[in-house]
Amino acid sequence: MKRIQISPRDLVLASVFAVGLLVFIFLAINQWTQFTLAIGDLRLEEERSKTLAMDKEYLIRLGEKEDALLEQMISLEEMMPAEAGTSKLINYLNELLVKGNFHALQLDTHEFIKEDGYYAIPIKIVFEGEYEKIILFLKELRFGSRPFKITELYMDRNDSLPSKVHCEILAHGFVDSKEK
Amino acid sequence: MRRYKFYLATFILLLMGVIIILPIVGIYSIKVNTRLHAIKNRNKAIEAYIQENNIPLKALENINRLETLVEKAMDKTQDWGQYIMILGESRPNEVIIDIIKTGLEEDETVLTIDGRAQSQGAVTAYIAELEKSDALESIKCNYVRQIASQGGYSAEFQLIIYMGQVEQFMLDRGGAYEENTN
Repeated sequence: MKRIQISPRDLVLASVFAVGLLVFIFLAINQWTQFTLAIGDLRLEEERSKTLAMDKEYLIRLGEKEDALLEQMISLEEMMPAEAGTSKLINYLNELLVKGNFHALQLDTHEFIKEDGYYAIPIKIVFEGEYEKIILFLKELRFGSRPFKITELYMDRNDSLPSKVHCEILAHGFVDSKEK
Repeated sequence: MRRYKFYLATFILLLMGVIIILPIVGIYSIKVNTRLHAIKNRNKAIEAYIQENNIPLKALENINRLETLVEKAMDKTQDWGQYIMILGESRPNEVIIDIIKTGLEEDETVLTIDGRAQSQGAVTAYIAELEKSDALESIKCNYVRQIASQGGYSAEFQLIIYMGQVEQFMLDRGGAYEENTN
């Protein structure tokens, strides 16, 4: 077996080359890692970009009917206002009572009931009026611009005044409990 | 010596390979990072646009929230106006209603009607008319009894009206009201 003789100079040279090569390999791996990370980030951003572009397009389409949306929101805010006061509620009922030509006898609000996301305001309405108009009043309470949930209803009539019906209603109005 | 040369040649080839790959990967990295930077900037611009012009989006969110809240609050609500109308329309002239009131019977809301009639037959006719209505589930007659005739009315009665399944209050998601008949 023939032994190879390597001079110390060659050995040093080979070591330098080996170290250099290792450094280069390390750099290449590092570069590759950075490259793959950047590719991953790029893909994520591209996907995000697509989603954002769709969001923007949706927003533009929504913007075209912004007026209708705001109108609808205002109407819903009337149904369930964020104001905790009861004056609007009383005013609304008063308007309905006047519209129905009723003789209002009592309009009392009771303590608010805290529910999940809103407050219920029980309100006792006592009045006298014509049977047909009471029907319209009840319809208005349910389907009107400010819906009420009627929980109790009592109606009676007096023989001496057959056209007038005495009506007592316990209804719940609602107020949004979300803080602005 | 030949093996030594082979190792040396492999070593040099590897070194050259690495030297060639490094700048190529480097160039691609720069390209990818430039593109990444551009897309990030574009996304930021879109986000800023969305942030600045989100009034309709906020309105829509609020609409959905309020619609859900109103429907939840109203829950299952009787259309009392409809029931009172049926009671009036089905009533024969020989019958008068004195009292209509809501009540609870086994956790079910019912309507109690107290009235008078010129005859027991008129009460039967009234019940028969009421039974024709699809809106009322059933009618129970608590009593019909003879009374001393007052103004031609010689019988008094009490009826219990069962409304059956109550509809969930639903808003028309287009803006106006409608009822869910399902």
